[in-house]
Amino acid sequence: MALTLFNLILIGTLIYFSDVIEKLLTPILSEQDLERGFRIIGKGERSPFMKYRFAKFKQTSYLFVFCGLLPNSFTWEVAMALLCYVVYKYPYWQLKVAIRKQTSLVRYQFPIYLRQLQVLLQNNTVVFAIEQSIDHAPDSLKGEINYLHQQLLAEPHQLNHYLHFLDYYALPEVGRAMKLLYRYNTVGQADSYRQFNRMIQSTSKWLRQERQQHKSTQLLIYQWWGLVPLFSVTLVFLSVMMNILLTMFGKGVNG
Amino acid sequence: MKSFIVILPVSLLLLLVVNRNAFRRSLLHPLGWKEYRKNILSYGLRFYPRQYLIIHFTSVLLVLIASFVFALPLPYILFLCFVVIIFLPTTLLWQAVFIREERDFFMLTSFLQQTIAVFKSHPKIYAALSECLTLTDGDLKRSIIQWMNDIEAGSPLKESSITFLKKVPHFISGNLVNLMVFVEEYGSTDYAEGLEMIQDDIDDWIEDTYAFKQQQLELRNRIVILSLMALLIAFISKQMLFQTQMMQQVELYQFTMFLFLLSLIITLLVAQRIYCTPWIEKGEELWH
Repeated sequence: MALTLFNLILIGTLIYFSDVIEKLLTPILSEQDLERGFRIIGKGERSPFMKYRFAKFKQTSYLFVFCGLLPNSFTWEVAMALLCYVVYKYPYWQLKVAIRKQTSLVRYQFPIYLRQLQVLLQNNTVVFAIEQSIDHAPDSLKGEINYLHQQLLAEPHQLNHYLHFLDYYALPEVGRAMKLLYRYNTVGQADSYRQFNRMIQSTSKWLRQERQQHKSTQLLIYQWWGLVPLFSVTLVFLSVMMNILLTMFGKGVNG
Repeated sequence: MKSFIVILPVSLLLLLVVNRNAFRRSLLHPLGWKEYRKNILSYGLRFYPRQYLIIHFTSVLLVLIASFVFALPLPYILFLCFVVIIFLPTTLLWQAVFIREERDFFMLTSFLQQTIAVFKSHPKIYAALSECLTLTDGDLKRSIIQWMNDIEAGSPLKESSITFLKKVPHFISGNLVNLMVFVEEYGSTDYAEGLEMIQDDIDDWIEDTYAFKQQQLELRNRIVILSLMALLIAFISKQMLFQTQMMQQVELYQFTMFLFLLSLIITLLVAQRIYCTPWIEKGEELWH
């Protein structure tokens, strides 16, 4: 009874001071990498996201009322607290999965784009090659390439424009490639040729690495299927053993 | 036991509803034979009715032998046979997909390699295409003929290649087309390096894809061997049980054995599915 009363007071406070609690808790509970995540997946904002999570948390917390009425109420209380935590964290976990997917897509498609650019650089300047590449660039990079192109049109020799390209993905390979591209754009003819060759070599290596990794991830899913026959034969073996045991106990060990 | 007699037809019905396409091309469907034949022919392969029936007969026979060895009751045996008959044509089609994809992949890569070689010595797109056309077949050939027709009709070089790029949207073919168009339109002396870069990409692509297919085949073989091993262990367990003459829970034994054989069949089907993935990665296709 005391637990039910405590739960009721807790839920009542949560409902009555909902806005205040939300304002207090949001900065504490909000994860550090939310902004970066929204930028990577290209949609969403911190404030509505946190509001949504808090609303879901509040709705789930109403279930606490029943905990006091059930047998083993403390166990239910802990289970409910865990449920509230999962409900609160779930949208963030979903965001994390989306970030991981998008990052792996960019890691896979950036060397492809770089190769497109290198082919275009055979006959064009860096800025013109970027402009030419926009139409057929991978969808995941199109927006950022467009933005980079706009900035380079205004200031073609500004290193920061190159360095800020996809920097929120925190992929060191992208940074290195963009630095090489900048050097190719700015240094003299003989030097630039050397830089260009280096860039081609590293892109080839990177492209193959990503392709192989992508393919081995595909195989990983199927590798688990190999365990299915072994798992089912274990069940068969267990059922046979159970049969024998049941018979033995039925007759008695000596019988 | 009685409950399973009800559960089995219901689950079979559910299976058919979920896998309607598999059922439509199976021998259980009145038009299944024709549907399968149509599918096989659409992959550019020949249909051998005798071979098709022999494969069915052998598979069902193997299921029957396994079922009798493990002393399964009739409803379970029928269910397993139905599962095999429903999914066997789909499995055979996966093999057809593999053969078709392999042929298309090697046709495309040899066409690209040859085009690079010809264009390197004589940088004219039309001439390179007409020389390499003989290496192609089917849809690829049609798209190249369309490309050549567009060039003949006087369309700009870039626009004329669209049909080809839609057919082969891989980034390597896109890069090659882009480079050839630039070289022919604006002229260049250093284009050989670009072509060599694309040539290296194609070599890497072939090597990686081939290595991956080998890995897939190895994995499939590993799963098949594991399944056979599991079958052997199950047989030894069953012999052990029957020799002790301690069989009391017959229904439990039969049900576990049925589940085991069903899981084995599903695993073997999945193992066939492994290597039927496309040879050209979707993530590398950009020219949609």
